[in-house]
Amino acid sequence: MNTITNRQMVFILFLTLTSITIVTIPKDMAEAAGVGNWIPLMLMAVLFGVLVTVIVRLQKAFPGKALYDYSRELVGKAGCYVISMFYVLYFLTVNVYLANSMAGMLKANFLFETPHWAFIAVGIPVFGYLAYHGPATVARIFELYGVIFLIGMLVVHVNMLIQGDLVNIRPLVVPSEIGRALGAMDKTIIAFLGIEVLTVMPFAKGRKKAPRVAFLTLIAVGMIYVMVVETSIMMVGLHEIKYYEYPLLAAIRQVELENIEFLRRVDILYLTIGLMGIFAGISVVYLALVEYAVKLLPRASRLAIVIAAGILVFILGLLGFGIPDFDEMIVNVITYSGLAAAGLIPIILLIVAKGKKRA
Amino acid sequence: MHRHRIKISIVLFLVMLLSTGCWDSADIEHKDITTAVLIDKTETGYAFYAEIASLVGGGTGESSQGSMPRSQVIHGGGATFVEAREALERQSDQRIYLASVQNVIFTETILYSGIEHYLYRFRQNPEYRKRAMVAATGEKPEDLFSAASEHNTLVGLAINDTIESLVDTGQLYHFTMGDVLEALACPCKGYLIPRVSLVGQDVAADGYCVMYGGICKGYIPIDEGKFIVYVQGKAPPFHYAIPYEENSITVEIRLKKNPTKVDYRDGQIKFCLDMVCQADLLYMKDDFAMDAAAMEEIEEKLERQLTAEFRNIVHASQKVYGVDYLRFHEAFHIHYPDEYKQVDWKAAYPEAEIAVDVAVELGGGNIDYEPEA
Amino acid sequence: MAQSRIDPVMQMIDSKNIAYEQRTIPFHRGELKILYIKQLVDTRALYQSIIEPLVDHCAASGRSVKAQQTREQILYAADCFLEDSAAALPGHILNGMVVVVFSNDAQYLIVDIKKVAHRQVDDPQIHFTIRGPRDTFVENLDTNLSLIKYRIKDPSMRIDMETVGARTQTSVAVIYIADIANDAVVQEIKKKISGIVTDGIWGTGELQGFLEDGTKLFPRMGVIERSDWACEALLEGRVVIMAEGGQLALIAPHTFHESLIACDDRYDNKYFGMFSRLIRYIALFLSLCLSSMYIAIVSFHSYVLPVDYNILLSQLRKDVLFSPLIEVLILEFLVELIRESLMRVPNKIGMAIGIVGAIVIGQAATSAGVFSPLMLIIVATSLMASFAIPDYFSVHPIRLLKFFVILMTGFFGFYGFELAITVIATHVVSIRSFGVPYMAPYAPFNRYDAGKAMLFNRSRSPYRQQYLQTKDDTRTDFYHARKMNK
Repeated sequence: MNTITNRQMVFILFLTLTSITIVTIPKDMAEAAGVGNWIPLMLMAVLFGVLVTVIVRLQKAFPGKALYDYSRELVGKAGCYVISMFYVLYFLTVNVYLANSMAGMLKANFLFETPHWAFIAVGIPVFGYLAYHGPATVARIFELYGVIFLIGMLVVHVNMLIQGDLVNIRPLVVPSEIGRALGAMDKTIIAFLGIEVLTVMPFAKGRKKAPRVAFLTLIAVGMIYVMVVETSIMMVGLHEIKYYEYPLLAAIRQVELENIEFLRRVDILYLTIGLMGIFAGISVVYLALVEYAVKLLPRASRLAIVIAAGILVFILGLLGFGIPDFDEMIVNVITYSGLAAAGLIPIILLIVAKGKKRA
Repeated sequence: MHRHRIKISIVLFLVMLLSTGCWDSADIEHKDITTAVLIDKTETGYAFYAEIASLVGGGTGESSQGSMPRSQVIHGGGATFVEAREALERQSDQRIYLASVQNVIFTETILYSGIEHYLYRFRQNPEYRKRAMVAATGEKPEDLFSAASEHNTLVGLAINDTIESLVDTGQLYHFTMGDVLEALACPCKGYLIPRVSLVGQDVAADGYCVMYGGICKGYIPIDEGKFIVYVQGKAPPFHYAIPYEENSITVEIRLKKNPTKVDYRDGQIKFCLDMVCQADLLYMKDDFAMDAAAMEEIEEKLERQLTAEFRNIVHASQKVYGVDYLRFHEAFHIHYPDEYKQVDWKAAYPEAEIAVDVAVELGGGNIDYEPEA
Repeated sequence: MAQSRIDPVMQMIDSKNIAYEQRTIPFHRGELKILYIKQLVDTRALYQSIIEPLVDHCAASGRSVKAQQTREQILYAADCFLEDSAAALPGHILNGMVVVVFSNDAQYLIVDIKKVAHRQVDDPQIHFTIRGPRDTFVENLDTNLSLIKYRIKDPSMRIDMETVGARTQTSVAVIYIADIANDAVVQEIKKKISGIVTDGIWGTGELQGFLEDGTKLFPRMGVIERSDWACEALLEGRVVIMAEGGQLALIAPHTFHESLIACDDRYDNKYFGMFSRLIRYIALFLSLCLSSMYIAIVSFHSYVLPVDYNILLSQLRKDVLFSPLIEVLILEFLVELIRESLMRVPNKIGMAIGIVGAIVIGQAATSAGVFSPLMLIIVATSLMASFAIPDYFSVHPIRLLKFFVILMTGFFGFYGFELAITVIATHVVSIRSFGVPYMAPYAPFNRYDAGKAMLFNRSRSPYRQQYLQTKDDTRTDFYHARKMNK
């Protein structure tokens, strides 16, 4: 049985969305929105909550099937191929972005001498191994990792809440800056992209509560982002946070749990638990890439596709390091194509499905 | 069979790849564990001093008896920070490990000349912990470190412990390098760096250096600065001796609340600090029974004296140094965020009206007190 | 004519080159032959139950004797049956049966008076218990079946016999409770057993190899030596498989969580059971990860420790010859060497090896600066932690994977550590044991099962484990009855 449960869906959404963006988002939001950063985050959470219910309703209407399978029924073979190709290219881009970001973050903060290519070369086989086993295995891994990640994150952020300076995030709302906050919403799009991985996760029959659960999950993710951003600003300071490329790590490094002697410094929590979240996020995107590629190339073996995808991500990732402003470019590409992948295409398919009385 | 060969090839490739690795492997015993870094400005440029924990060594024998490691101080100087750092590294036979730095110490020379440049270096170095304490010293670096070696202690840890214990008793104000960087980034914020000096051969805190941006604006002795923490709203209990008739009564005072009211009208900023303290009588020089009248009189006296103390602190910050290290700008920012953006705080702060009022609630505490029936 | 029926049968049996004994007893107008292998039968019972009554009857009656009559009226043996096929006779003889062939009857009489030397029921050697029963399985299948049958008197319990091995013809018993066990699991097991083509098997170890296809490190079947544990498994809806000649039984399906359960958990207070299980989970983590985390902290991420710990670590390692990675690998190898040698040698030499190991590694190597004392503590802790895991066979993959995690960590610090853990977690999560996910009830998560997995008390656990998808999932009505009576 290759279907996922509601609980698995919650953890997939949670870990995929917070994968790597959770480390960089405090800086982006502090720069773009200042103290009112929670406004664009919560608004975007609601918007993406609506989009995720669209995807979930589609998956629910076609139990046991992924988007490739039912898009074929809805828009025909040609339309299905176009959509699938788009998703393949999109997930490939996201994969490259995530792999490069992970390598960059690890090199800048933990393993200074290790070359970029080594991170990706060693990581890709592991993510590929996970993706090779299919959605059911990935979903179960998320169930395990999600709980550990959530608990670790709560421990860290509650301590940041206690040790941080509340003054740094006040006032919570500045009426004159609401416009600025709303203008920062485009910076938050990438933080919520990841819901489109649900298109490769078949749902079982029934699952009446799935859309509501998915919507509430997105709201929860929004609140988690708000907590992360606010606690990071509390620890580091609103003006200072802009100078760090990975502000969450800078904030975590300032937390000390005095009562826990040798584990006083919480870096170790992030090194173990935080990396779990990143790996989970990259793996599920890799899985999505493989799932679409497998459907497009039915004659090729799954193993061959996993290996080919890994090699492609590795090569493109290395090329990306050589291009100036590569990160900015790729973020722009992902932002706009992500809106299509997570929003436009599922909405169109849902409309067609409703027209054909399938949803 | 074919799939099996592919899997084996992948595994072999990964093993070969891994065997080229270990780029970041650096065993801890091959690093110089640096507990304190001192930065000084010299005539020719800058100087770094690094205190390194020397290891007695081995898994058995002396070190297992728990003896403190001796320290070793290396220093290097140069025209720029880069040259000074290179000179420092040349002194060391192992890699200097900065993640263990407990204390960053600045001499007064460099404080008065400006530490902004160094702070930018510090910020960009991921190895440094931003939670390292910061201290200033008027002593010569050689004197400071040699005093520590006499006692076979580590200067970094000694300064840390001294400051921490004073923070617990409310006598000192705790500042980390992360706080310094935050203050540097915020144009309105001043800050205080605890200053240490040698008393005999011991390290003692003797006051604060008043800082704005990266430059020192002055010095506050510890006696004059001991209530700064309370104006800032932090509240460890402190002991206060108050003369009463021919007696001397010691009270324990705890700050209950410290709300700051802000008003901004016609370009005039007004702050009103209404502090409420809980005081408990601890002991007195001569034993006598307290009555309600005496309690009331002591209470009023306490209020007057504490008000005067806190007003002096505000006056020093506003008028003497013109640096807002008492964080009034934060209260103004919270209540008037739009006006805050338009005001030049450096000019406006000294002109602000700050009213300080202290109310004391006096309790019997340890002393014999019979309230009127 | 008398000889004509027997002769072809005897020729057929002789052609199989079986080294059997025969005794001929003549009767009126015919004769019968008693065929047996001396080493496999109880000679006393042979004489008393078969030969003596037959001789007496043939001498006294003066009439011919047939198989059916012999079975019903002459023999004293309890377990005998008629066989129609002559081709099956060699198999019966090889199986330790006594075969009686009649010159005037197409039917043959098979009598079971097997007697093979075997161990008596003994105390457990692998799954020690303080409070639970201590009778364990032995190499004799009948004895093992009797240990189960006296505990479970449910008429729905089925014992299906299979034969495995072309040359050994080993009997394999597949035991399950028909109205609880999942039929699909039972059918899959039976299908796999009947599909085994091999010369022979000696016990459940080889059988497990055949039943668990694919390349997975973790055992997908539980291995038990205690009969109460086997009965517990049957009542939960699992299938127990036993083989003649093997002293351990297999149970299926089997999940990872069950490797961390000791039967004593169920006999003790439920909170203490939960505490014990928590200890084992921590032990599992320590066994797998402790050495690697030491390497990661000492070689890569020293900043996670406060400065005084850094100084202490440096002091301890100052004069150590090897880098942490090499040190760990050598020590872990030495520990595995000692563990292996202790298992193979007689007890008295084993004590000496233990002492030599402690002196050589503990004292001499540390004094010489070959290893640091902290490293010894860590490896010893890791070793002790592996002993805390009740299922001895589940520790083997942990011992193997530990080296994988050590190597990955040695090259990439915590990044490598996390990658290794991810690979292991993926492997474990992807395993299915006869259709049941190996990480059940945690992944996929089942709230009822996960709660009961940690905190179990029979009186308050009305339902069986949901992930087994048994036919009857009600374990006890006691809790419900008590609730109703309140």
